[in-house]
Amino acid sequence: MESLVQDIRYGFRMLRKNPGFTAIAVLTLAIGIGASTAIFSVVDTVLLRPLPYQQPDRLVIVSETLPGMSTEEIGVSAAEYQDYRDRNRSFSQVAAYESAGFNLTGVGQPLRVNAASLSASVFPLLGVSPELGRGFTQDEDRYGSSSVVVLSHALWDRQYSGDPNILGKTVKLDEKPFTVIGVMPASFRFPFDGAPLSEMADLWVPIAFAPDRLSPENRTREFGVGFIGRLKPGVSREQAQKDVDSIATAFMQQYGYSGTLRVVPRAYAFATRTVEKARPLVVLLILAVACVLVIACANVANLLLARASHRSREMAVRSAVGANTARIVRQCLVESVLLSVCGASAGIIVAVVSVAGLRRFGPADVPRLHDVTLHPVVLLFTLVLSVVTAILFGFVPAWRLAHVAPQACLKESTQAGPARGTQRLQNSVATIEIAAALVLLIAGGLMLRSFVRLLDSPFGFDPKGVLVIRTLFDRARYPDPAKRQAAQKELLDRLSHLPGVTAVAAASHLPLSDTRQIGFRLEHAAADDYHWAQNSLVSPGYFRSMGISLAEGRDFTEQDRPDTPSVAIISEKMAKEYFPGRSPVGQRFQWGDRAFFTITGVAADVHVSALDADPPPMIYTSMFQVESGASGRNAFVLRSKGEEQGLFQEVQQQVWSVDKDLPIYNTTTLAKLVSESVAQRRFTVLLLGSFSVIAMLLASIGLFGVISYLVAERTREFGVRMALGADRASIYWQVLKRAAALAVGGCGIGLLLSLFASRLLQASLYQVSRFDWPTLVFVPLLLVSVALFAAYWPARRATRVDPMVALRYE
Amino acid sequence: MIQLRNVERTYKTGAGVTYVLRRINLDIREGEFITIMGPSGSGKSTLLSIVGMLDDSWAGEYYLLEHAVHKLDRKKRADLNRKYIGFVFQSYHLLDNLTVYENLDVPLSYRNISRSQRASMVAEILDRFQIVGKKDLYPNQLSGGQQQLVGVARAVVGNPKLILADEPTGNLHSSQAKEIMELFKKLNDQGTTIIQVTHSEANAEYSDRTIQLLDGWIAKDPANPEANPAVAVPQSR
Repeated sequence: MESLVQDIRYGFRMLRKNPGFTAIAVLTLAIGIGASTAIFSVVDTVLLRPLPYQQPDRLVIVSETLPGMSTEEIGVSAAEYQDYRDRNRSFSQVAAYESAGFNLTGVGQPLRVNAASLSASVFPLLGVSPELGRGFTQDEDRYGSSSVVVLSHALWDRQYSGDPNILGKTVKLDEKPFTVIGVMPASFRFPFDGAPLSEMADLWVPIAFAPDRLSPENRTREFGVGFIGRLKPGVSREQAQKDVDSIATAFMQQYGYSGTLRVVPRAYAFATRTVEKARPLVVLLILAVACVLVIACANVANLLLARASHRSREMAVRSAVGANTARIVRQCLVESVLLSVCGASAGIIVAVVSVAGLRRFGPADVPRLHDVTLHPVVLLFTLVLSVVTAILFGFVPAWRLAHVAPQACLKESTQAGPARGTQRLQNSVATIEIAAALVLLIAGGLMLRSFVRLLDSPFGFDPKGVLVIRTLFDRARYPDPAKRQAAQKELLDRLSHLPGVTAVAAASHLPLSDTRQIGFRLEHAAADDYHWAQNSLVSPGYFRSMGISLAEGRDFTEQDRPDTPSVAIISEKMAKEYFPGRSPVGQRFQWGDRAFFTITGVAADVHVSALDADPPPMIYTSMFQVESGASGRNAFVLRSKGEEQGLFQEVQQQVWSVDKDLPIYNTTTLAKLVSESVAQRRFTVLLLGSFSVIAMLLASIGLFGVISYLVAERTREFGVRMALGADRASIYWQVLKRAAALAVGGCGIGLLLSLFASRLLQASLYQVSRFDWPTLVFVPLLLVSVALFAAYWPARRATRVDPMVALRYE
Repeated sequence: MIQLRNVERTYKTGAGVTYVLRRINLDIREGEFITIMGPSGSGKSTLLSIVGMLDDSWAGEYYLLEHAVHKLDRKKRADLNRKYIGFVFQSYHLLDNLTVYENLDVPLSYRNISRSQRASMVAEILDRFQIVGKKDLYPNQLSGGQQQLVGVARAVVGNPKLILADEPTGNLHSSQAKEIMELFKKLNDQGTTIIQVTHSEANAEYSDRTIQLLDGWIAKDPANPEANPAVAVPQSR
């Protein structure tokens, strides 16, 4: 015991005596443990942790696509939901949900809240109960029954100060009174963020489908209902898929679905579906952090190998004066363990800081990212991995040294040149480090090039100096479209007179913000030949305010009224797709059962859903001519010369001077919308870039260690060479050629690995090939340069070897 | 060939300055075989290093042939070293990871000599030292005597005018030592100037002149009887 204490004391002294070695080893371990723990914690929370519902692996979502129109998922229609509900043999329970939004008034400033309409079966299906009160009854989920609402914990806490007597009180949603019947627990989220058709809901109301939504003619007009089911015991997802396929086939036949309106249902495992979007990012991060961890472990291994070799004489002397094998090995182990403990402690700090950073700065669209906490199992895993690395690589040379006869050890120490076995092992480890670093650097380089290309690509609109303010003229408050339009026009007029404002317009949907698709049929096309296009209801002047150029035709004017022929402006993409080789101006199409729309203009293409998604076909209609479900939604865009923040106050005043109960929400700028739309990509580039730089630094430190060791071991050799006439340049060459060989070898292996690894990136790249030659040339050159720079310092030391001292060093 | 005038070498220590060599005045003619003797710490090897231009930090004047070494920068001194001087070390200092052939090639590789010419020079020296059969062996495959034979061969491969040998037989047994000393004598007879540092009286017998060093001073130089009569002068601090 006393000798162990002595070993520990001696171990601490050794760490203190070599502050450079200790600092590098501890830092390396800290980065390896910290970064890995943080990222694996994200993976665990986002991908692996069960959803906060009862038996989440038995939950399945059914959503449809319209393959004839190449649509994304559209949910199901209300009538189809009833078919799936009533005819299936796979689900023990099913439920419907739909995104909604309300103006919450009567409590302070008017507030726009995200909501969801749910069938009464949702809460029992998910196996969750309200924290206060109760869920919906079947009676309440019936059209025309009393209006009830369940609040989220956050809204209850924020807006009602957690009032324990909230149950039974009335809140005003879109001017209509709703009775609060429950408050959900803080952990409850539904629809789940990341699930299709979902946003984070502040409150829930019964879905209570209106009778007209269930009519046969509305089956293919209005989709957007979410369908969730719980599989019956013994039923697999594949069986459920077959089941919904046959139900869809049956109702399509029964109700005469034809042409492009035929639907294809898909049954997803809910857990898989919710993280599908985030999976590529998370997988990328796992691989990146695994690379960093490998490099960190390799670095520690190399450092320990180098140090152990330096201490061969010390061990030989210890052995010569009577230390046995066990004692020598224990001494080395104690030092390795001390080092690991220091590294692990620093690693925990790095992990805590990293997790906090990820939660704060991570993109909002990665589900559950904000729930990430330091995962104890993950922490334990990385700690064990790093400590085992440290112990193993501290132990192996110790074991070897402890088993060599002292005289042989001492004799070996007089020879010029390092032990070949150790050198080979170190070289291999350094090569692996460089290869791993190159893989990461190339991935980071490709992502960075993609990001730059993305920002350089034309958006289709000019985001500079444009303020966006949203409000909602809900139908309950403005049942008369004429009155609503009058208010909208008045507001537009007032806003246009604000100082500094050069252009004002309004739109129901803005690019990179919110989207809406409509089905249309070209004039003279078959009755069931429907297609989909993005749509926005816009005011006259919209294109000028947004900086979208008109390629052909005219903008909307005040003369485009409900009582004049319906007109539309389409995008160039739509013009090319549906009117190839001819002007679309004057052509007509039908939207729903409305009268034909005449195309009066062609506008430049705009990226709608994301900057890296191709601009879709787009139909603009005039908000003062067409009535639709989106007529009340208004995003006002104000192009100005002045300060946007100051402008906001004035706009707010003007909005409330027109109607004091109009909610103002999601205030932003076009530039911010652009920035937010690339947030995940920026986050990926940032993380991957950080890991690449860390990997490069660690690999450089590793190489520095190897070359330093080499120089130290070859001191006498350099002395001899100098005595024999070697000049500085040739000594530099002696050292740097070794570093170059390791760097080039590592880069060669790294390039080969990159060819495979970059396949994972393929989907995330934008207008950049995974064989992008500038990246594949520049990045290895950069890494070799950095490696040579790292090797330069020990090489410089080698040139300063005093031959006299070197030759006498025996 | 060599003239040293008031050469001094000091080391800074915590307490001040320690003199290793003091006011060394020495003349060596071309073709001489000189032995430097003295107790450990007397400055023998330091003197050899200064003559061999491995040490830059000294004061005084040093002339080698027509070159005023003390006025030359480090690079020019290295050029002189390459042109005129060959080294033989007590511990041989062969490069372990190079074969005998490659070890002999090393000093030539630092001179501006073509590969083919180097090959012929190495072949000639291998033949001259009768070690052709060992050219592909590594140093650890040779005996101590053989290693030093290679060490001497490496020193002379570039046809130096001056060979500096620091305890060349220190690690050899007597018969091997004799063999090496015979070799030095032969080289000296062929015109090569040799300066050796040794503790061995037997080795000193081979030389023309033996210089004694004591505490950094020349205590005895047959060519200069008044070199320094105050041999008992203690180290200055």
